[in-house]
Parts: sequence; C-alpha cells; structure tokens
Amino acid sequence: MSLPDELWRLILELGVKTSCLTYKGLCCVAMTSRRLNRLSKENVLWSKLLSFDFPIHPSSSTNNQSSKSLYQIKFEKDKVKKRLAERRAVLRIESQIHEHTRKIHEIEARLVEEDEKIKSAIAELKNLHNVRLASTALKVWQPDIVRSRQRQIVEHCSVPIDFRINSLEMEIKLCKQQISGFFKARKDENSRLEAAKERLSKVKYHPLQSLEGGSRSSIGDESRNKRTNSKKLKRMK
Amino acid sequence: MSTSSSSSKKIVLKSADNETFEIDEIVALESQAIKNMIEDECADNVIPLGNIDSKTLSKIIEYCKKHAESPKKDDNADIDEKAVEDLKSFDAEFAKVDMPLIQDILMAANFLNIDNLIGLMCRTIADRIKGKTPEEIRKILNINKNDLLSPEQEAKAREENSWAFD
Repeated sequence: MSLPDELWRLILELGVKTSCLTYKGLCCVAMTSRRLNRLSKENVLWSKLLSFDFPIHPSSSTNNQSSKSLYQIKFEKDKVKKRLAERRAVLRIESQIHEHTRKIHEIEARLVEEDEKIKSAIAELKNLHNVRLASTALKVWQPDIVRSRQRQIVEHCSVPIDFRINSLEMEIKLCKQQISGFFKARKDENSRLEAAKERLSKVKYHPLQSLEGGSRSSIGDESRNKRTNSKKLKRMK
Repeated sequence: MSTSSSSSKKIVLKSADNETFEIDEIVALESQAIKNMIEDECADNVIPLGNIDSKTLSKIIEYCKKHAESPKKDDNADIDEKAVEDLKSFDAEFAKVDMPLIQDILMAANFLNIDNLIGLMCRTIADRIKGKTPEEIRKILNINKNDLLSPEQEAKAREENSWAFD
C-alpha cells in the first residue's frame, strides 16, 4: 500500500461524506493498520459524523477533547436506549417465532386428526362395500353355508347402506380437502417462520463477536453472547 | 503556442515502461497538471511520465477520453440527463478493477491532477471497505506487513474501539 497520507485522508473523508463509512466503519478501519489507526482518528472525520448523527447537540465543548472521544461520549449516552430498543426487537421476533412454531404444531396435530378420520372412513367404506356385495349375492342362488354367512353380514349392518356410503364418500372428499388445506397452511407458516428466523439473525449480528473470536461462531457462542448482553442490560437498569 | 488554432493537436505521453500514447490535446487537458504544462509552454511534444506504467496510463487515457467527449456541466446549464447517466455508468464500469490497479490509478490521477478521477477512485476504495470487518479490510487493502499493528497495539486498538460494537 503505497498511497500517501493525503490520499488516505481523502478516501476516509469521502467515505464519511457518502455514508460509506459510519462510526463503526471508522472504528474497524482503526484496527487495520498503524497508519489507518492514526488517520481514522482525525477530527475532521469525527466532527462530520457528530454533525450527521447527533445534529441536535451542537459540538459544545471546544476544549482539547478529540472529536472521536466526544462522539464516543454521546454515543454511550444513546447506547442504553439503543440496547433496549434492540432487545425489544429481538424479543418481538422471538415471540413471532414462538407463535409460528405453535401454529405449525397445531396444524400438524389437526393433520394427524384428519388423517385418522380419513382412515376410519375408508375402513368403514370398505366394510360397507362388502355388505353391499353380500346383499346382492343373496339375490342369486348360493350354497347354504355361504348364504347364511352373507345373510349374517347383511343383518349385522343396521344402517341404510347406500345412504351411508354416500355420506362416507363425502366425508373422505372433505377430509382430503382439509388435508391439502392444512398442507398449504403449514407451508405458508413455515416460510413465515424462516423469514422471522432470518430477521432475528440479522438483528442479533455482532461484529465484535467475530472480531474477538476470529472465525469461531458456534451456536454456543451466540447464546453466551446473548446471556452476557442481558446481564449488561440488567446492570444498566 | 497555438492551442486555439489546433483543436486536433496531438500530445504524446510516455509511460514508465517507455510505451507512447498519442492522444488529442483536448483529452490531455483533462489533467490539470498537463494543462498547466501546456499553458506554461514547458511541454515538449512528448511528455514523459516516469512514475506511471502503461497499464495504468492506458486506463487513465480511457477515462480522460470519455470525460473529454462528454458535455461539461458548465458548458450548458441543462445538459441532457442521458449524458449524465451515461457518464455515471461509464464510471461505475471503469471502477470495476482490482485494488492494486485502483491504487495505481489513484496515485497517477493525483500526480496528473485529474480531480474527477481522484474522487472516483477514493469513493471506490471507501465503498469496498464499507461494512467490512478489520480482517476483511486488511485483506482488501493488502496492508503492508510493516504497517500492521503490533499485538500490543492491536489489543489497544480493539479496547479503544470496542464501544462501537456492543
């Protein structure tokens, strides 16, 4: 990297001006090299950021305090508020996820129910078909032994066969409709769940975590991070 | 000096690796430094650019040609928006090169004093490090080993800047 300081100043200034570089961006730049550490601290940059991010507070103290530390002080004041807002956002999404999951379970329970219904209807239908076959068979000559069994089957059945078959067929049709409806509902709910999970991972993203740990970012780390965050929150309260 | 009489007067630029580029004077005038040289009449027909290699120089000429062709803002108050858009998309395409070349172009543009090009390259670099982690920035900029923070300095830098990340 052979660019002179003046060009790096220009890059950082233009970056701040075009909002490519935020306070976070400048802090990241500060950690990259000795030269950028020095250049990224300069007052021009941070007074610009101060006027962008805290326009209502005029940069009052013109003593020897650097713009960066002034920014940091104002930022820390806002931080408590921001943290709480972030926490609320996380909680909101988490409850959405919970709700979606609950709905999916509910749909699945009803799918099981509907599945059982359809199975028993099919079984009964099969049985009724047997009865109908037997009653038709009774009208023609049969060996006695067969005949008596068939009569037994027919007599055993107390409901009007055709009527019952019709209603069972209706029921099966209805069940099938219900099931396909539930499948669709489950699919929709699943995609909503995925969307919520993605939002959550965006909200929870923590640059410092990846800075500290390099490439490690397991689920365990994430939950630990969450815990320390909530601890910090409690402390601040 | 006869700049007015010869709109198609040619200027020859010579790169560090001794390649020559003949360009219209109007294109060369995009460079404030060359413009000054011509106006001060201290430019020979061939202008040697000992610190710019031919790869970089040809990119710069490509840029200057396009910008010399395009109507200038101060020429006409209401230049058509299509030309502006066209130039914008040219700039965007132009900046799609690797980081070493961007830095070379920036250095050369700084030397030749081509304001627009300096701005374009600076914004491009800023845009590439936008939203990146320190590790990523180091990789993108290919930071020189001598310029890296010592472990102690790095620990200090992290400590000092951690406020931005909680």
